Amino acid sequence: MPREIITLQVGQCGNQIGMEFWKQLCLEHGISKDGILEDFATQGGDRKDVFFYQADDQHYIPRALLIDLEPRVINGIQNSEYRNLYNHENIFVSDHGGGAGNNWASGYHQGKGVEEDIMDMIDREADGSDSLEGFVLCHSIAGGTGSGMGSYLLETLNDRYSKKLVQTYSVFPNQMETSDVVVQPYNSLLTLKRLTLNADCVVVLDNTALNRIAVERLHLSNPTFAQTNSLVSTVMSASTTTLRYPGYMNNDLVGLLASLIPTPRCHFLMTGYTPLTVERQTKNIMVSSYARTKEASQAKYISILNIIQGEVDPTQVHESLQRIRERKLVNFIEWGPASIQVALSRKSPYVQTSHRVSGLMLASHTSIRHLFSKCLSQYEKLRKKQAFLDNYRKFPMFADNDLSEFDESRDVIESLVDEYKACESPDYIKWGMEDPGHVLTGEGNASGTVDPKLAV
Amino acid sequence: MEDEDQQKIADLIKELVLRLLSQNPTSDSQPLNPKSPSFHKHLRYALRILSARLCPSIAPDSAAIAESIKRRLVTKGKSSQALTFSELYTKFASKTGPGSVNNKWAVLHLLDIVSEDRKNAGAQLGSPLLLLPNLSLNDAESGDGDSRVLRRGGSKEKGWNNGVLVVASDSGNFRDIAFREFANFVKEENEVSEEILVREVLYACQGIDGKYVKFDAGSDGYVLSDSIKVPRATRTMVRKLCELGWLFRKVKGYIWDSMDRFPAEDVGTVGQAFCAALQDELSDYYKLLAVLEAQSMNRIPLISESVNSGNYLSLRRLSVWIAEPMVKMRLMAVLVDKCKVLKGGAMAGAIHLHAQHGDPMVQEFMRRLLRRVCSPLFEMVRSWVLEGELEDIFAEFFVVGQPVKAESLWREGYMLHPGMLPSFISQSLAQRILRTGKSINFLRVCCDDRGWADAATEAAAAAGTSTSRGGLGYGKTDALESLVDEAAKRIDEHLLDVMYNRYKFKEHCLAIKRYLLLGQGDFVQYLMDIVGPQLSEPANTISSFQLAGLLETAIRASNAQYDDPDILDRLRVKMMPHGTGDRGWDVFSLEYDARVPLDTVFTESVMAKYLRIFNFLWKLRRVEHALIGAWKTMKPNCITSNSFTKLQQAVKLQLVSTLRRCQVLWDEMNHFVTNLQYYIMFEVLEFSWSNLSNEMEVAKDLDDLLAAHERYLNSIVEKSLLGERSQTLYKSLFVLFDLILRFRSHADRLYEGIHELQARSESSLPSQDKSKSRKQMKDRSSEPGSWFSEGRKALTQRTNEFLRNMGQDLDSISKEYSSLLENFISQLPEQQHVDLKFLLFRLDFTEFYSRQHPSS
Amino acid sequence: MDSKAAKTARESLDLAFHMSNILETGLDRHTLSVLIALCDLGLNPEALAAVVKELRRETLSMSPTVPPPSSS
Repeated sequence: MPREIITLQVGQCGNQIGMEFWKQLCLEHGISKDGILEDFATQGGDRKDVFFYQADDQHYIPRALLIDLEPRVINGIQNSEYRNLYNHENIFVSDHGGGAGNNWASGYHQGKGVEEDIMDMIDREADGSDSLEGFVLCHSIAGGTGSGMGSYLLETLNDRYSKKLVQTYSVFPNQMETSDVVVQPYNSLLTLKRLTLNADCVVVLDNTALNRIAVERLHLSNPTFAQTNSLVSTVMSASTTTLRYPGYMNNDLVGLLASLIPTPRCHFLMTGYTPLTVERQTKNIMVSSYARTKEASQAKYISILNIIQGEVDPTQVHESLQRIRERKLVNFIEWGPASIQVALSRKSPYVQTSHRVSGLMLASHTSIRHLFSKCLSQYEKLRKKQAFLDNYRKFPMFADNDLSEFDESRDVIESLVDEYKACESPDYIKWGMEDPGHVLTGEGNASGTVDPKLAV
Repeated sequence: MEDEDQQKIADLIKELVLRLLSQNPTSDSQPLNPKSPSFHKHLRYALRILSARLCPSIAPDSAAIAESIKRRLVTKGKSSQALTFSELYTKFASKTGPGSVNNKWAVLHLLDIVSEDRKNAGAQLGSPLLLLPNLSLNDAESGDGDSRVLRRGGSKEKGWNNGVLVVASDSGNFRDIAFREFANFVKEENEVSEEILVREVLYACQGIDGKYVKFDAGSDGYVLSDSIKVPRATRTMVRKLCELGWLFRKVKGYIWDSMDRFPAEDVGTVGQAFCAALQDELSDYYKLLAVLEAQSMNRIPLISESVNSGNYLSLRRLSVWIAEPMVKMRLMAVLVDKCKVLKGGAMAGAIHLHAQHGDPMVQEFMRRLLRRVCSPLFEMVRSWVLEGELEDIFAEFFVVGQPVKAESLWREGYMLHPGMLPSFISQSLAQRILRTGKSINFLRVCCDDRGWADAATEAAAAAGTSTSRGGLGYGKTDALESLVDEAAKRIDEHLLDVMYNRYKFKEHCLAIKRYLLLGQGDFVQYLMDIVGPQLSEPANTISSFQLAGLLETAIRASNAQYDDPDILDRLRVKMMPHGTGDRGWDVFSLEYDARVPLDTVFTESVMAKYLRIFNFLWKLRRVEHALIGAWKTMKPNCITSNSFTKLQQAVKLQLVSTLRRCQVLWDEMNHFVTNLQYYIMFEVLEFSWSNLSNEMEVAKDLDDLLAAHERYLNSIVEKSLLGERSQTLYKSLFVLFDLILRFRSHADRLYEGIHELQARSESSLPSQDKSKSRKQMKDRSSEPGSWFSEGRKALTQRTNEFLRNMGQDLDSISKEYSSLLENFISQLPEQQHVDLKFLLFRLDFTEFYSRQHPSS
Repeated sequence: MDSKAAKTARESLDLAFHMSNILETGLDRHTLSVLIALCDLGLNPEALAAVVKELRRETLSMSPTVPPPSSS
């Protein structure tokens, strides 16, 4: 009765990072490229059944769905040395293979069209699990398939599997460069709305920050996609390590996330991954970047979880925490108690690293709002010009020049930004209640600023 | 005739000087020439000496001289030489007639002086002191020195009458007369002759009543009956001498006594050895008495009589003879007294206390005695430390065994008997001895092991003692120490090896940590998941068979399934005795069947401690589980995706406010529980475990191991606040736990209400997918008489009421929680016996609480 | 001297020699016999003992050049 997790990798980016993730898991669990347990992998202590299931022929098969609207990346996987790893019934490539053309609306619409096929696959996987814990979605929010179709899947999962957790690893576009996808701000905004409303936890993988790490830490002058993707896979595998190597605490996803996400809306997590020694823990770099503005100093941690792999002396952890506390190196929210949590986890015996100990930081930090603000402002710029909207009007959601979905999304993101901002204040508990007049009269109208959907 | 003699003397002196000088080691190469001037010088010197000393300084009483020599030998502790000398002298004195030595006294006297001189010479060698400093014959006189000494010698001849020196021939008769008078006087005063008294005393010394000297129970001693008329000095003397008899009686009595009781158990082997040793000492004593008795047959001469009659025994002489036996006998009597009620080790110890004596004679005697006495004891030690055998039918050994169950063999099976521990074996050595034999028995009985025999053989070889009796003994403490050390080292090493490798002690400790201390997180979680619903039922309705089945399921579902089947087999469900009203949660626990030999470590009381820890951790887990469950019902996409579109703004605000209060309270509780868990894991379990692991590495014997485990367990108990001194803290912790569980059910109700609300509003607004539903919604809301338009007001009202109630409940829980937590936190720094800094530090990491209550 | 007297004399000397040994006088049998003869001839045993002691001391400590104490 493992707490199974089904991975949905959607779109080009989702499949690329997904594949890297499975490569990493195979290495760590001693599973060959064909899904056969290696002879040396006898040490046990790990749980392979969270992410894999065992077919009758002793093959370990990832609980993964590979979904794309164009065949290029998935064909690549099917021609790679890992082609026998996946269950071929779990691979979905759109019949016409034309992709979504970097259009969220297209992806979303196509998603609806193939809903039945995909949900059949998901249901089959879910039925094959004893106690399904939830889903992990890998995608990018900028393109068409990962963002649009991913958004559709998020809504559907939320509807059909409302009791299950939905976690996403969402790659945010590089904001330092001008993107080749001009409608990226539209796509991001529309996806962000679903991430806010329909996901339980979003691990923000910020391409900007990933590139910076690749350049500054790994000394790669021009990091390739493969390199940044492998960085992502390391983050993903590290953040699931306590699920795969059970210990005293944090043995399931819900336990892991619950402490990280005390308030439901603020469920966007930043990650920092460095091979760190415990002493240097504070120098952890944020993979998810945030604007380095004056406001950043106001930013606060809502929660921090450090997952440390390898042999660590608990007293070292203690000392390190003490140092952080004494020097007040970390700002925490003031409206409730908080602390740095540390989860110790075993390290795979099959993967040799030069570091005795490595660590991953998962954190909920209010500075993430700057990322959303940036998305908003980029969207506003584009929207003001009414640019590229025709592509969207082709699809039913935006038919008849009904652009309310954009406005609604904008409002959702704006209120998310506001909530993060409110978290920086000690009076977060009272935030949003400052309308006593309405409360007293009891005669509020159905259309408020809080939810524009009622503005029918 | 005289001239002949003179010539003979001159020749003899020459011969003597020649002999003496030729003993000179330096002149070996240079044979002494009787004509050499050097020889003549020496000869002249000798003649000068001889002529200078004409009068002997003592009376020529050969018997008296012999007596004095004997006495000296005796006082020097050479009683056997004294005896031999005495016999030789008797023979020597009996040689009379032609060919015999006439001046016997002179020969004896000469030997005596030479002997003494020789002894002193060692000390005086090289000293310039001359024996005869005043002898100043010049060379001129030396010429006729010869004749002078010879003349003098000749003239002296008359003065000697058959060896009795008459100091002055003219006054010789007076002396004789005086002696005779004195003898008569003595005879008159003594009714009983001294010879008889001596014999009587000798009888008494053998514990036999004589004619005059009898044992008198009243004065508890041998006394000369009052009716006999003897001088007081004699009476006192007799009494003093008879002390030996009294002592002898005592010693002999003890031996007889013990011999009689030999078959019975209260003598013991040590007692037997003691008796045998005493017996041997007595046989020496008998020999002496036999000689003395022979001597006592000789008549005691009167002072005036010829000393030649020889080897007689007077009371005074007797007192010299028995001085040494008296000392020994006295010692033996004291020992006998001390040992009367003792046996075994206690007896050896009591005897040992008397061995510390300054007199080397006593020391030697005691050592001899103790070697005998202790030999059974050392044999017991040997067979105990090398074979684990308690060959102690008389209960003499300082290790005692008692029949116990295998699990208590180590702790209760064998004890030190302090009364039987002789003081020459130190406490620490005794402990090592105890443990070594105990280890062997533990291996044999509990571990079903035979390998210890090799270890013991090796140990014996290394200690250089063959496994048979021998090398050990009293006074050889080093040998004993080294044997015990070698045996202990190897046996203990072997025992630990058996415990670690064959019985997998460490693995079992880890298994207990994994299952009873909930270290195997996935297992605990599944168990909690599947037994949770059962445990909410009343305790008396729960089937422990069913729970056992569920335990099985949890094992198979988790990584526990890969564990050693032997370990899993030992894991059981245990239902504690329950009272009315108890729920399953109150009585459920896990237990681990340690089995022999591990139950020596995991005793019932140890397992009871584990049980308490389990109950605490299980409760903590349950609380955590409840909180996670609450989070799941309010997880992000449950709430955010439902915007409650139908609600009034005011109700909506109320909803948002109630939810946020619930979330913030949840966050605070979760923070507490999570950090308590971290504390338990890092500071308590892992910390204690790492100490245990280290201590296991260095443990040298089972006691070390037991102590290490004990410390491990106690450290967990104390730090988990389960100790005696943390009771108040523990209680407030449980109140907090219960409050959190109450919160959980409130939160559940709140979310149930909200979902219901959501369901209602969704029935009017079926989908959130606006692109799809917008039109339908428009259609429906325009439909007259719909539930929505009619019930809107009622819904609002009911929602309002529900939320207000929930809000109030949450507020009261929140208030209660704050005060409880404040109370709990404020108690943390006051705990003296356990360091809770880390817990406090974690709970108040951001100084959230210290800001709230800056006073505390 | 008849044979009986000789036997007695030998036995006496034996006994005396034994005693002498017990007393550790260091005298050899011959020297002892000379001394016994001198004693029987009435010489003072103390004086004889002194001779033994003195001459022994001489022989022990002297080199041949050391003169006896009577040097002028």
